[in-house]
Amino acid sequence: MADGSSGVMRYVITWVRLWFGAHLLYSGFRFYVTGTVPVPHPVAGPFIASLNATGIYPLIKNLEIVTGAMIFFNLMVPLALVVEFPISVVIFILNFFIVATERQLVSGPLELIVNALLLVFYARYYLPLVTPVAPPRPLWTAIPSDVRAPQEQSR
Amino acid sequence: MIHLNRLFDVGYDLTPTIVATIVVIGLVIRDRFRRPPPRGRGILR
Repeated sequence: MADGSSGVMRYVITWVRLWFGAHLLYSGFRFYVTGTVPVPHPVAGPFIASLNATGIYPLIKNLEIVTGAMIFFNLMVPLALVVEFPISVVIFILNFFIVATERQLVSGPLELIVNALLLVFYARYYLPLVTPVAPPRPLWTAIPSDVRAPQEQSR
Repeated sequence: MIHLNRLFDVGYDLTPTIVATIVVIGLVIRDRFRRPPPRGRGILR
């Protein structure tokens, strides 16, 4: 199969992708319906309130909507997963180590695990990034033959 | 607002699970019952 997965695994990957996309869209749109959910915690409460006051929280929610739509509708998924990953890390730390209520102990790790799992499912897209010594390659220079897309090379 | 928040809390886990499951079941059914492309029906046969 052209996408590198076949059989049941293809459906498993699709299910996880759709789940994460829908989860991000839900989380993002929820902000516009209910506003910021109050966090009754001495550290996390003021932290979320500060993020809201500085405008960072709405930015995160908008990012969740954009990356959620990209992941759900299968548009530039590898890029969306990388953009979303730092947010998932912050959610994990806040939920698991700081708030640590029954629900947060599940939702925090789940966010990070699903994001990381999808990064593993799309790992081959990131291999070109693992270049030990990378010379600059600006957009305005010609594409060297060794970095052309496989379908281009086969022509 | 508290009730709305509680409602959204329940939907937080359920909605993505239901949506993903319905779409994947749809894909499985589509792939299972998709007619294979016609083969060997060309003019040279």
